[in-house]
This record gives sequence, structure tokens and C-alpha cells, in this order.
Amino acid sequence: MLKIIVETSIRTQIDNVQNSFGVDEYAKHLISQHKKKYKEVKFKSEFSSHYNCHGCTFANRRTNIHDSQDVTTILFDDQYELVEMKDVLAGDIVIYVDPAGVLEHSGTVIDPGSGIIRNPLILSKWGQLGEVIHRVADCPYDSSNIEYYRCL
Amino acid sequence: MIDFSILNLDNLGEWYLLANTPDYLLKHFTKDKSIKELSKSDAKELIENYRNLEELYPDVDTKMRISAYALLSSLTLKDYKDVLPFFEELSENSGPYTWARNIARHYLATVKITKVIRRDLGSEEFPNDPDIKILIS
Repeated sequence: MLKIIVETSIRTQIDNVQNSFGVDEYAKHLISQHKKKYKEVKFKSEFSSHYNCHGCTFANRRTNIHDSQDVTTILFDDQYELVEMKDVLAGDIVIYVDPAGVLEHSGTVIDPGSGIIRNPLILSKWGQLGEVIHRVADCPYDSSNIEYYRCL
Repeated sequence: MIDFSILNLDNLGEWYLLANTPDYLLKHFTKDKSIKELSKSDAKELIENYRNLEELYPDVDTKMRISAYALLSSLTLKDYKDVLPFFEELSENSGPYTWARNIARHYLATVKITKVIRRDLGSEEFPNDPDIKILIS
């Protein structure tokens, strides 16, 4: 398993893995099955095991960051600040926190939306699937507790 | 030998492909009916099958990866007494399956050792004895 050097702004090492397995016939079957369930989203890129959502959001698409605690470390060390929904801007980070407190998904806001009830448009990587452009709750991750962050 | 045909492979495969973290994978795998069914198998047999996968099919394709994680997920549903040594060993060794160690560590973290005591029946003695562990998950 290949690892690269990923550090926060204060040199805390972030554990990571660069997977290199490709897409086989069975994975293709699963992907096509899955895409049928999400008709309102735009699949921007194809399968990649090289990086995951947190690697996409915080490590320039270079690797997989698997540990929720490491994402918390990045948010703290890099001085991300929590942003209220009404103040969200393009470029802010969205984090999906499940009831157990696990940061199970992350993405980048590309359009915060407008109006009283906002429905931001997000760019995120769905596991080994490609990057996806989707509305914030239109994804297979727990959207009951969503937090927005900005790196100041 | 475990009958892998009981696994709802397509359903599990979707969670596997979507998982960004081992926690997400484990959360959805352990809720799956076919994993619960698999966990009715004997722990020794499940462990043996996992070891065979590690040895004979080290990370060869998507189906094998799903099967390996299915076995590990089913083992997390077993009585801790039957799987603790296995997960302790797995947590220290980096096998061919990327998230095996994470799953082992997750398991060990959630099975909390609350007390380590010795209580000899018929004795007033209560010194610490690491041989007996009371675990509460």
C-alpha cells in the first residue's frame, strides 16, 4: 500500500493510502446499477480508487484519507471555521457527520444557492466512484447533520 | 466451507464502492441481512475463510474484496470471546485488504475493556489479574 506525505499547516502527518486497483467487470456492473438510482446528479468523472472524498477535498485528489479523526485534525490545524448555512459561499467545505460522529463524507460547495431555503450544489467524490455534482442532500451519505467550513 | 452465495453481493458491492471510510463500510455491511446470516456461521470457520482469502486471493478483484470485508463484518457480530484474539492480531498486521486493520481497530475500540479483575471463587482476594477481562460492547 503506497502512502504519500500529507501534512497539515502545522506539520501533523495525515495517514493516507494510494490505492491502485482498477475497475473490473463486476465493479462496472455495480456502478451502472448505482447510477440509475441518482438521476438528478451529474457524474463528472469515472471510477478511481486512487483518492476518496476526503482526499479530493483536502489532498488535491492525490490519495485516500480514510480516518475521520484525520479529517478533524485537518479542520483544526488548518483553522477551518464553521460557517452558518445562510453565509455559505462557493469554495466552502461541506462535511457529512453521521449520528456516531464519524465524518463519513466531504465535498466542496460550488454554488451556495439562494433564497430562504438554500440547497447548495456540491462537488464531491463518492467512494471509488467518480466525482459527482449533486445537491447537498441528494447523495448516498447521511445528510441529517451537515456542517459547512471555511478556511480563513 | 462458507457458502458465499448467501451474500447479497450487489447490495454489499454498492456500499463497498461508495464507502469513503471503513466506518461507513462497516455501518452498512453490519446492517445487511445477508451479513447477519453469515454471522451465524462458526467464528473459527469465518476466520479460516478470511485467512484463505488473504492467502489465496490477495486483493485480486472487487468480488474478493467485498467477500473479505463481508467476513470481517460478520466477525464483528460474533461473541467477543471468539474473535478478540483474531482482531487483536489483525490490528497489528497489514494484510492485503486495505481496510482490514482499520476494521479490526474499530472493533477493538468499540469493545471496551472496562475492568481487568481477578476473582477467585471462595476467596476474598481481588488483585488485578490480566487473565480475566470483562468486556462490554
